[in-house]
Amino acid sequence: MTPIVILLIVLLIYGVAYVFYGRKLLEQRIVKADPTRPTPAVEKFDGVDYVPANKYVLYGHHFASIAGAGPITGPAIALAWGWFLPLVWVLFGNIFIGAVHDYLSLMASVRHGGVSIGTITESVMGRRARYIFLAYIWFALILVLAAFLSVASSTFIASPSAAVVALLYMPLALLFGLLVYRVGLSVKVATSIALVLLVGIIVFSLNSSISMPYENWVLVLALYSIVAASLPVWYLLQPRDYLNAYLLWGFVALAVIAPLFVAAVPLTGPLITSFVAKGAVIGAVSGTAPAGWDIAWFWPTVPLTIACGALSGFHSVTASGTTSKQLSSELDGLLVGYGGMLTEGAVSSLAVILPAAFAWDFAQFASNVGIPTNILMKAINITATPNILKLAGTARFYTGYGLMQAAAWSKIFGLEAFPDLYRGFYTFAAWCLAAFVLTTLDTANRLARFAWSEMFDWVSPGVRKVLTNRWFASTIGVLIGALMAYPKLPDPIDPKKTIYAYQIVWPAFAGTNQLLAALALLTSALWVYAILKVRGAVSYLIMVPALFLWVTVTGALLIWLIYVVPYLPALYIATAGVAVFISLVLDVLLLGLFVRGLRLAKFRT
Amino acid sequence: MSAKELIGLALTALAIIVIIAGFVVGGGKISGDMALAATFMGFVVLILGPWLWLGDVPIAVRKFVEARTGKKLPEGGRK
Repeated sequence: MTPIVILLIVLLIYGVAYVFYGRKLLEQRIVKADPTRPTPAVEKFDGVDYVPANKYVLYGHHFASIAGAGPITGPAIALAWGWFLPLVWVLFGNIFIGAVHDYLSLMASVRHGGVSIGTITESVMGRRARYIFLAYIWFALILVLAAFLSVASSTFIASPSAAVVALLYMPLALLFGLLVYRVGLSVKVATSIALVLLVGIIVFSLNSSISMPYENWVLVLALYSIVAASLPVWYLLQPRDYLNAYLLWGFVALAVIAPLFVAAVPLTGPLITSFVAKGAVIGAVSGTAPAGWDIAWFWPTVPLTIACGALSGFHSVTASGTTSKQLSSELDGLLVGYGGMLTEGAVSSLAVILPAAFAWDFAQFASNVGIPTNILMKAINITATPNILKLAGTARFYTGYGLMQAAAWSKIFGLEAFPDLYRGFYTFAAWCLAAFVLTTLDTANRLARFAWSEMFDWVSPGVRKVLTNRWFASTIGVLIGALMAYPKLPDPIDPKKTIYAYQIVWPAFAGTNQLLAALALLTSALWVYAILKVRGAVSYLIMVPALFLWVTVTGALLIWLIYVVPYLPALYIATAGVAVFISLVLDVLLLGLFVRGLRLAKFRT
Repeated sequence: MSAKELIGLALTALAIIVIIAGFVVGGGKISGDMALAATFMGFVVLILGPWLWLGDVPIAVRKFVEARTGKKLPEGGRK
C-alpha cells in the first residue's frame, strides 16, 4: 500500500459522501433546506450572539471550534490497533454519524429559533428530557474548559513560540472583523490583508517566545475565555476562528500535498496489529488494570479512543449553539455542518493516520525514502524509539507529520535539509495543535453560557436577568473550569507524581462526550421522524446509525464500569466512576423518553 | 466623538504601544513578571479598546438584516 492510494481513496470517499449523502439525501430529501426561510441569525438579530455570517467565514469558525485536540490525539492513540482500523472508523463515523449529527443538530436548531440540541429535546421527548440534557451538556462543557485550559497552558510552556502566534492572532482577528464589518471591505480583500500579516506573524514568532509558569497561563487563558465568550461574536470569536482556520487548512493542505511527492513509497506500518490492543487501556487511566488483562477491544471501545475525528457530542452542541445563531441561509448549513465535520475527519485520516502509517517503522521508512541513517539520526534517535508506537500519543502525531513532510520536501530542498525540515514541521504541528485547542476553548465557554442560560427559563424575570447576564454566565463556567485546572494533587495511582484536579474526572469525559453524541443523534433522528415527518427507508438511514452508536457507546461504558472502575483508586471511583454511572442512568432514561417520543409520533400520525 | 469612543481610541493606541514595547525591549522574548504583566494587560486592553471606540453594531450585517427582514432596526442594533 502506498500514500497516494490512501489519499485518493479518502478524498474520493469524502467527495462522494458530501454530494450524495450530504446534499442529495440530508439537505434535499430530509431537511429540504429552503434559502427563502429566514434563519434565527436574521430573525433574532441582536448584534451579540445572533449575527448572520458569510458562509465561508462561518465554515472556518465552525471547523476551528469543533476541532480541538481530539482529532489528533484520538487517532494517534488508536494506532495501537494498527492504522487500518482507525482509518475505517474515522471514515465510517465521519460520514454516517458525526457529520450527520452535526448537520441535523444545526438545522434542527435553525428551525427552532437557534436554541441548543438540549432544548430541542423538549419538542420531541418532553420537558424533563430538556433539563436533563442541558445540565449534562453544561457539566461536560465545564470539563472541556478545565481540560483545555490545562492542555493549552502546557502546550504554551512546551512551545513558547506557539504562545506568541496564539496571542498575535487576537489583534489580527480584531483587524479582520473591523475591516469586514466596520469598513465594509469584502471578505476576500480583508482575508488577503490578514493572510499577508499572518505570514509576518509566523516569521516573527519563529524567533520570539513568551515564557511563564503553568498557573499564570491558566489565569491568562481563563480571563481571555471570559472576554471572548462575552463580547459580540462577530467582533473577536468569529474572525479569530476564521483566520485560525487558514492555519489549520494550510496544515491539512500540506498533508494532502506531501503524499504526492512520495506517492509510490510503501507504507511501513501494519494494517492491523490486533483487534484487542495489547497493553492499551480504555478511559486513559494507565497502570490500574491487572497484568495481562487486555480489554481494549476495537469494538465497542473505539469511540472512547477516537472522538472528534469521527464523531463527538461536543460538535452537536457547537452546531446548535454558536453556529446556528450565525447561519445566514439554510443552504449554507451543508458546507458548514456536514463539510466542517468531513474536514475534521481529513485532519485525522490524512494528517495523523496516513503519516503515522508511512513513517511507522523509522529504519524501514528511512530505507524506503533513501535517507541515510546518519541524517535520520540528526532528526530522531531511532535506537531509543525504533517505531511510532514507542512514542506517547501527541508525539506520534508530531513525529509522523514531521517525518512525512520532511521526506516530501527534502525531494526539493535536498537530503541535507531533512533534519531542519523535520524540526520545522514538528514545531508547525505543535502550533496547529495549540491553535485547535485554543479555538475550542473560547467557543466552549460561549456554549456553556448558552446552556446555562437555557436552563433558567423557569425562574422569575428579575433573577433570570442576573443569571443569564452574558458576563456573569461566562465567568461562572470558566471559574469552575479554572478551579479544576489549577490545583495539583498527588496522583492516587502513583503518589510520587502529581496531577491536576480535573484529571481525576477526565477519564469519564471520553464516555460522557460520546454518550452525548449518541443522544444528540437520537434526538436528531426523532426530530426527522416526528417533526419533519420523514418516513420509510430514508428515516432508517438516520435511525439505524443512531441506535448503533447508542449500543456501541453504552456497551463501551459498561465495559469501563465493570472491568476498569473496580481496579481504580478510591478517588477515581468516587469521581470518574460515579460520573460514568450517572451518565449511564441518564442514558437509559433518555432512551426511554426517545422510545416514548417515537411511539407518540407514530400515534399522532 | 463621544467620551466612550475617545477612551476606546486612547486605550487602543496605548495597548499597541505597550505590546510593541514588550517585544522590542526583550528582543522578541517576553519573560519576567513586569514584562509579562504589561504585555498581557496590553492584549486585554487591545480587545476592549476598539470595542469601546467603534461600538458593537456591525454596519454591514445590520444592512443585510434590514434587507432580509424589510424592517428598519432601532439605533444600537438590538431588537
